[in-house]
Amino acid sequence: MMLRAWVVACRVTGALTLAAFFITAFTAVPNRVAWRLYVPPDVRPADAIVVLAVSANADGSLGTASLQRALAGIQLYREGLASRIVFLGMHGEAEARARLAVSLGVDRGAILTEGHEPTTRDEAKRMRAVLHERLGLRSVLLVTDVFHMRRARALLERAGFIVRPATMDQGALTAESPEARLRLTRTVGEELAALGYYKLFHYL
Amino acid sequence: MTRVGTLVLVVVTITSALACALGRRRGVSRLGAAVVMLVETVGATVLFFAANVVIGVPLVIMARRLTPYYLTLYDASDLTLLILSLFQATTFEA
Repeated sequence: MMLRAWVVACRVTGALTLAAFFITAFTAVPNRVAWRLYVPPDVRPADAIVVLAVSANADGSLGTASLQRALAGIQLYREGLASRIVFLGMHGEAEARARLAVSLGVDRGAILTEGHEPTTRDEAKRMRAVLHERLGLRSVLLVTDVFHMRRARALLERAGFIVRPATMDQGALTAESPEARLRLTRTVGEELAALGYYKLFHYL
Repeated sequence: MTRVGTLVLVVVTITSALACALGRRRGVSRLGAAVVMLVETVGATVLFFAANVVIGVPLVIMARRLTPYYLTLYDASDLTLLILSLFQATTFEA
């Protein structure tokens, strides 16, 4: 009886999984789902630019995603959209980004680094303590990738900020090859799971 | 359907047709049973993967609270977990 139930469960799950695999890899469904996460950019002057963490490599160097976010923040600063820029990131990521910013002409005095926040929620809480409560800043230009923006914006708004999204890498929402669509599905799935987790525990 | 998607499906269709023809010539014709086995193995892999994630997530949360090490929840869905789930499925389905 138990074995029969296991076989039926395997067959049903297997059939559904194979159907989902073909739909995911060979149709545009992942792109449509990914676009539902999209938060359009609203790049206007703000009190500070906040560049959220990704992760640093083991040797302390910046990975591609971290570098992309840092450069986007530096570009916004150099366009004069804020007088302060905050780099977040543990294990040397924030400091590495700050050094990059200084080498690209950002005033050292305009840079803040925060390197002890493992989650987006912790980053939002830290920004509230540092920018909002200590420095009295109210609006932020938020730099993060297109998948992460919806959750990050909600957390910073909940922390009391007026958030202007500087959404990066919109092109990542559209995948053409089957492999790219599977990767997109994984990324979107992880972000939807994170959104669900945050809502479940009333963080959003 | 994109060009890459079409190419992938055409290639797989050709090799599947060749394998099928070769099997028939050698008197092997259990395609239906093989497809059922494929479906069952895929299903068992997904069920093992789900069980691994369900067990992994509380372990990550416990590790965060009880040790100085920080693990992300994404660590509980590492790609190797899916591959190991396939190994579990093939072992326990045999």
